[in-house]
Amino acid sequence: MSENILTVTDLVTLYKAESKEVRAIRDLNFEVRKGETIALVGESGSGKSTLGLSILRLIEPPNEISQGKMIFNDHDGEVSILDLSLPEIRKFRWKKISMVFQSAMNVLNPVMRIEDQFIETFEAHNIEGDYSERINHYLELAGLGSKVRRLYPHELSGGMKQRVCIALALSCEPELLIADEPTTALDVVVQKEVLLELNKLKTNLHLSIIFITHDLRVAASVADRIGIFYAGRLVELGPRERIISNPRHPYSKLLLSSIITTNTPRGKKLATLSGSPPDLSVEIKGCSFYARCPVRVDSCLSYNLERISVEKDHFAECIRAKEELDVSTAALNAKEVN
Amino acid sequence: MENQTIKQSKTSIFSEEDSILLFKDVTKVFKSGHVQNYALDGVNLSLKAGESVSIVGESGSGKTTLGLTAVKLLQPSRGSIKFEGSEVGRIRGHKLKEFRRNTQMIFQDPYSSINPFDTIYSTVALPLIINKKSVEKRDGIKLTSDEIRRRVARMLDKVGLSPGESFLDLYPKKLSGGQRQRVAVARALILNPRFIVADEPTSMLDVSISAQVLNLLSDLKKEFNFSMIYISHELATARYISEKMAVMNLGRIVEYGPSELVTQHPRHPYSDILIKSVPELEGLTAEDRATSIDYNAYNGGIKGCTFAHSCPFKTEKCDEERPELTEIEPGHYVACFHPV
Repeated sequence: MSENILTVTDLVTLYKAESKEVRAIRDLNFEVRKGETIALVGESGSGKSTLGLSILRLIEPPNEISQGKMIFNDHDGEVSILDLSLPEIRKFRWKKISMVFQSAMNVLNPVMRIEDQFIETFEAHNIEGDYSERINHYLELAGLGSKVRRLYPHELSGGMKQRVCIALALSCEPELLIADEPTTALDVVVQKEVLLELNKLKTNLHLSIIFITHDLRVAASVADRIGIFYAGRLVELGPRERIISNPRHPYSKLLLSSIITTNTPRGKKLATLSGSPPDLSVEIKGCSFYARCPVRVDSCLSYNLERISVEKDHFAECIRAKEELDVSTAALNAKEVN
Repeated sequence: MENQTIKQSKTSIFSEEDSILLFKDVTKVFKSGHVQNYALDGVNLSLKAGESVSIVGESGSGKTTLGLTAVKLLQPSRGSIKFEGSEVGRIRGHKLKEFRRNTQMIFQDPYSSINPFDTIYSTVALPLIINKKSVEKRDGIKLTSDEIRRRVARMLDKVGLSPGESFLDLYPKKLSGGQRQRVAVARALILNPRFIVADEPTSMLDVSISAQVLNLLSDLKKEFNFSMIYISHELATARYISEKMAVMNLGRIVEYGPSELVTQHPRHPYSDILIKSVPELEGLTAEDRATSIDYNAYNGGIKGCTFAHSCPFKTEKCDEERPELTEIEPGHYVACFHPV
C-alpha cells in the first residue's frame, strides 16, 4: 500500500480562448502524503487554483485537462480520477476529496438555512443516519455551536461562514481536503482561529490537506511541506523549515525576501521581482523564470527542467540550486543598473 | 459648562502646533433604519508635516471612514477636522480647490479607481489640467500641452513606469495591477500635494508587487516630503511604512504611538490580540491559542470601552465609563483602564 493519498503525474490543464491555448498547468508532478498538509504557494496566475479545480475535475469545456494521471489511493483501493465517469466523479467529490473555496460568502446559498445546506449535501451523497446529530457533530468540529443551524448565511460573520464551509467540506468524511485561500477574505484574528482549527482537524481526523495560498506566512502556519508554484509548475518543494530558512530557487528566495514581517527593519529596501510572469500561451524554452531571474546564466535556456535534489525530500527546478547565491543583493543591484 | 472644559482638556492631547491635520472629537454616524452605526466615535488624531501615520484595525473598525473624512469625501456628523489651521467642513469655493490640490487619495482597488476609457496620459494629466491656472501661478511657468506631457512622462518615470513616454498613450487594460497602482500614485502626486491618504494600496496586489509599491511609496515620501495617512489591515506593512501607528477598534482609536512601540509592546488588550494574530514565517507554535472576539456583541453607541465584551481584563468600570486616550509613556497613548 502506498503512503500517498494522491499522486499527480505529468498533469496538463489548458484554458482555451479564441485562437489561444494557455497552459495553466504544465507537466506537473507531485504527491500528497497521507496525513500531511502540503501548502502550494504562488502569485496570481501561477495556476495554483487551477490545480485545485483540476483535481476535482471542475474544469469546464472548452478548457480541459489534456494530459496526465491522477491516482487517488485510500483504504478502498486506487482510483484514477481522470478515468471516472461523470456519475462516478459526482459520487467521488466530497466523499473522497472535498474543497473549501476562497470566498465563503459566495459559496453558501443565501436563501437556505445552514442546516438545510447540510441536508442537501447528505442527500446528494446518499448518506444515511441521523442527520441532526451529524450536523451538530461537524459544526462542533469546525468550532461552531448548534445555534448556527437555524440561521441564514447573512446572519453569520465572515469567519463563521468560512467555518460552515469547512464543516460542509468535512461532512461526508473525505480523506483529502483542498483548501483554496480559505482565509484570504478574513481579518487576521479570525484568520488565526481558522488556521488553528484546520491544524486541529488534520490531527484529529487524520486528514490530508492541500492548502493553496499566496501568503508564505500563512503557509508556514499550517504546512508540513511547502511547494512554490510558478508559471504552472512546482519550481521548488520541500519540508516547511527548509523552504522558509533555506530556499534554493531564486524565485522562492525573492518571494521570501519581499515579505514584510513585524521584524523587518523600517526603511530597509525590499528586494523585489521585476518584470512579469511569462506568457503561458507560447512555448517556454528552458526555465520559465529566466526572464526575471537576477542570477540567470545562458545554460538556463537549454535546461530540461530536471528536478535538482538539494537534500532528502527537497528539490528545486533550477540548475544553480546547489550554489550559494545572494539573489536579493543581485536583484537590488540589477535595479540600480536599470 | 464645567463638563465642557473637562472634555476640552481631554481632546487636546495632540498638540495643535505644527500639525498639518487635526482631528478633534470626530464622530461619524451612518444610519440605517433605526440602527445607528458609529463608524467614527470621538476620534482625536494629529498629523505633523512630513509625518506618516498608519491606521490599522479589522474590517468595520472605521479606518476607511477616517481616511475619507480627512480628505473631505465624507462630512463628519460631529467634531472638527482642521487642515493647515482651517476647518475642513467650512472650506468652500477657490479655497476648496486649493484644499483638493493639497490633499490626494490612493484607493485600494487599482482596477476600479482608474477609468478604463482614459489613456494613462489623460488619467495622470487631468489634475494638472483642472488646476492649470494655479499651478502656472505657483510654478511661474506656462503649462502648454507639451509641458503637461513632459511632466506626466517625468512623473511616470518617478513611479517606476519607465520610460514614461512609452506609457502615455496606453489604456489601463494593457497594465498589470501593480502598474495600475503606480498610475494611481502618479495621479495623486502630480500636483505635489502636502497630504495623502493611501487606503490599503497594496492589499489587492501580489506579495512581490506589493513590496515594489511599498518601496516606491517610501522613496517618494522622502523625495516629496508629504504627510500620509496609510490605512491597512496588514500590521507588518503598516509598521514598515509609517513612523506612527493608530490602532482602531469599532470607530475609536484605542492605541497610538511610534509604530515600533505599538507593534513590539502593545498596551491595549485589543492591539495585543491583533498583533499576536499576524502570521509569521516561524509558523504557529504549541502555545498559540485562538483568541476569539465576539463581534456580535456590538450594537453601536457604546457607553464604556468598545472592547469590553471580549476583553480578558474587563472590570465593571469598563462597561460604565469610556476610557480616553492617555499618555502611558512619552508619545505612546492608550485608551484602557487596565493596560497590558
